Parts: sequence; C-alpha cells; structure tokens
Amino acid sequence: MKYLKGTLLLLVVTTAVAVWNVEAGSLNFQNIKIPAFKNNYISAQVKKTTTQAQSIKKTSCKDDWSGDGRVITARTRNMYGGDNYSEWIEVPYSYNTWGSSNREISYYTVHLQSDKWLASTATFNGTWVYN
Amino acid sequence: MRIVVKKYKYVIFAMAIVLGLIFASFYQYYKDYYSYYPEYYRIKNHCTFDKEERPSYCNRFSSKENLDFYLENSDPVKRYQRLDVITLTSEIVENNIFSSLQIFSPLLIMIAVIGTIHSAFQSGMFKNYLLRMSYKKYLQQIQKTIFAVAFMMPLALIIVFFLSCCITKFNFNIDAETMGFAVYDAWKYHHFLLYGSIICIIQYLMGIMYGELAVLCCRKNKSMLVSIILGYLLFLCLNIFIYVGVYSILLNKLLGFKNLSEYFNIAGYWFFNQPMNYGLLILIVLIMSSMSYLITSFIYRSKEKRILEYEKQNT
Repeated sequence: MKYLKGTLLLLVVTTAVAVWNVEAGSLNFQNIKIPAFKNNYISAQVKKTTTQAQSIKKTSCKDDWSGDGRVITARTRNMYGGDNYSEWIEVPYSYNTWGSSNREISYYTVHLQSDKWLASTATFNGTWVYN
Repeated sequence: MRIVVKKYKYVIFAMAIVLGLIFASFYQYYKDYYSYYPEYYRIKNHCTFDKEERPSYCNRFSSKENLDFYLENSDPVKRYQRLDVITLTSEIVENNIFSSLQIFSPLLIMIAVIGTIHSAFQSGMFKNYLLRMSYKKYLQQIQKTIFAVAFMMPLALIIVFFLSCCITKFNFNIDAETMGFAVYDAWKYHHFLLYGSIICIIQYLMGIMYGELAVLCCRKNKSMLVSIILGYLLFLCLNIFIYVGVYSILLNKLLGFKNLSEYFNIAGYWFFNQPMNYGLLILIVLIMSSMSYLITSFIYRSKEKRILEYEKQNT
C-alpha cells in the first residue's frame, strides 16, 4: 500500500512540475480588425521553443459591412536573419499547419490579411499555435 | 514610328507601369522567400559543432540537432526546387504588389483610353475627322481603341505566367506541401490553362467596361486629368454600389442570399481559390460590359449634340 501511495504521489508531483514548466504556446485573437485593401494585421512577437509545426485557425471572421464570412490568409515571419517568411496559408475553422517552413526555434510574428482587395474591414477571432 | 509612339504614349505609359509592377512583384517574392540565403550559407559554413570557435550568431543553435533541423528545413535550393509554375504565378498575382491591380487596373486603363482620345475631343480635331468620315465610323475607331487597350491586363497575366515558367524551368510538378498553401485549389491546379483563360476573358471584358466609363467622362471635361479622376471615382462608386448596395443590403440583408460576395466584388475578379460558377461569373461580366457599351453608344449617338458640347466648353 505504501508503495502505491508513493507512486501516486510521485505521479502527481511529476505532472505538476511538467505542467508548471510548459511555456505558453498559443496566441488568441479576440475581435481584431483585419485592415481593408489587403493590408496586414501583424501580431505581437512570440518565442517558439520547440520544432513542432505551427498552426492557426479561426473561430469567426465577418465582413464589417455585409456580415459575410471572410477568407483570411496568414503567414509567419521568422525575426532572425533578415526577411524569412513562410508561405501564405488559408485560415479555416479547423487548425491548418504550415508544414516545414517555420518549425525552427526562433522568434515569430504572424501576419493576417484578407484574401482579396476589399474596401471593408473584417473582425477576426482565432488562435495561433506556435509551440 | 515616332508618330505612333506620340499617339499612343499614354498606352505605353500605362503598360510600362504594369510591367514595373510585374518585376517589382517578382523581386518582392524573391526578397520574402529567398533573400535569407546569405545568412543560411553563413550558418552552414561557420556554425558546425566541429569548430572550436563559433561566431556569436551561431548561439541560437544550442545543439547539433537544432542546427541540422534548420539546415534541412530552410535550404533555399530545396525550396526553389519545390517551386512550380502555377504556385509562382498564383503567388505573384494574389499576394504581391501585382495584386494592387485589383484596385488600380481601372485607373491605368482609363489613363490609356482617355490619354489617346481626349486630345481629339478637347482640341476640336474630331470635327475635322468628321469631314472625312462618318460619325459612326469615328465612334467605331474609339471603340477599337477601347477593345485594344482592354488587352492590357490579360497580357499582364500572360507575362506573369511566362516569367514563372522561365524562373521555375517549366516545372509543373506540384509538391505535396503546396496543397496546404492559400493559393492552392484543386480545380484550379488541375485545369490551370482553362482557369487562366477564364480569368483573361473576365479581365478583358472588365477592361472594356472601364474603357467605356472613361469615354463617358471625356464628354464634358476639357481637362484630361479631370476626366481620368472622374472616371476612376465613377469606378470606385460603382464598386461600392455593387458590393454594398446591390449585394450587402439588397441581396444579403433583405433577400437572405449568403456567400455570394465573390460574385459582387468586381475589383476581385483576378483570382478565385474556391469553387465558383464560372459560367455565371462570365455572364455577370458580359452583362456589365455590354450595358456600359450600350450606355456609351446611347449617350454619344448624336453628332450635333457632341459638337455643341465641345463649342460650349470653348466659349
């Protein structure tokens, strides 16, 4: 019995330490404005600490004039070593990944833009997972 | 030759701007995706772990695995080898400076059309032309100018495609990773020549519409610049009216039609990355360009009225 208690205690402590040491790995976007005329919204800079693929999804994005859904595309920028962008990918309602182009450990920002040149802005909600 | 250049100098000017945008777009694409290669080779040559002393910029690679991962996934040569014609063409058209033609191509077409025909209206030379030809024939000459200038944007798309073929060495093999890109659409990639032809036809018909709007604005304006600005403002108003008035308010909010914004964003007829009814789209564009042609023909139907308008401007 005491071995069982000891093992359970060890499991609880290990889990607590593991969770405590995990760095934040995602950025939530709440009601951000996607600019008109295909201008970019640029996020805050984040630190990627693993080589896992980055991914992004939207929970909603509505055109501010018509209320229609809006197609949004996203790419990341590696802030080390000059201009090094990933390709533009569409931001759907389930997570879409960039593949191998931005998995390096580094500092990143994400750029969001409208698919087309439109005179109206859009309101975007979503999540970017970078770790 | 000099006379031709002088007569069509505004067309040449507009085409030069388009060519400038094309080359700027390719340069922008290279800068965004390949300009890091000096840094890459610097890291490859100096950051290996067998060296005793490594420069400070190597400190971001804390282990050999991290360095190998970077060298494998950021190799610019492998990135270039994966690049295909369709992806490069789509990226240039959709995501670089070239995409500004969505909103500026009407302005360039109007500069070309108004620049070519306005001087004859403004100077009164058209009255001399009418001594040697019928008014109907004179109007046909103006329409021929519009039909010729309307080729400008399809030609720009063909040039982008041709340059993409040259840069990628005619690589039409689609890499698996490309299927995750925003520019990828299965139908578009598998029927690219058909898709490209449809876009060229749409842009040609839109070019005719913009040319007709330009001619409408030539009538009562002595100044070429005012005619161009008025024509462009007319396009912007039309763009907003069709998207907001016709679609957002009438069709969307009042009648409940949803997800049709692609059909009513007339500035966005340069690419489509989702399933579309291309037949319906061509029909919409054909109706718009036909209506603009008919309206212009109706307004310009009377030779005497046109001469009176010219004389009024010059008294």
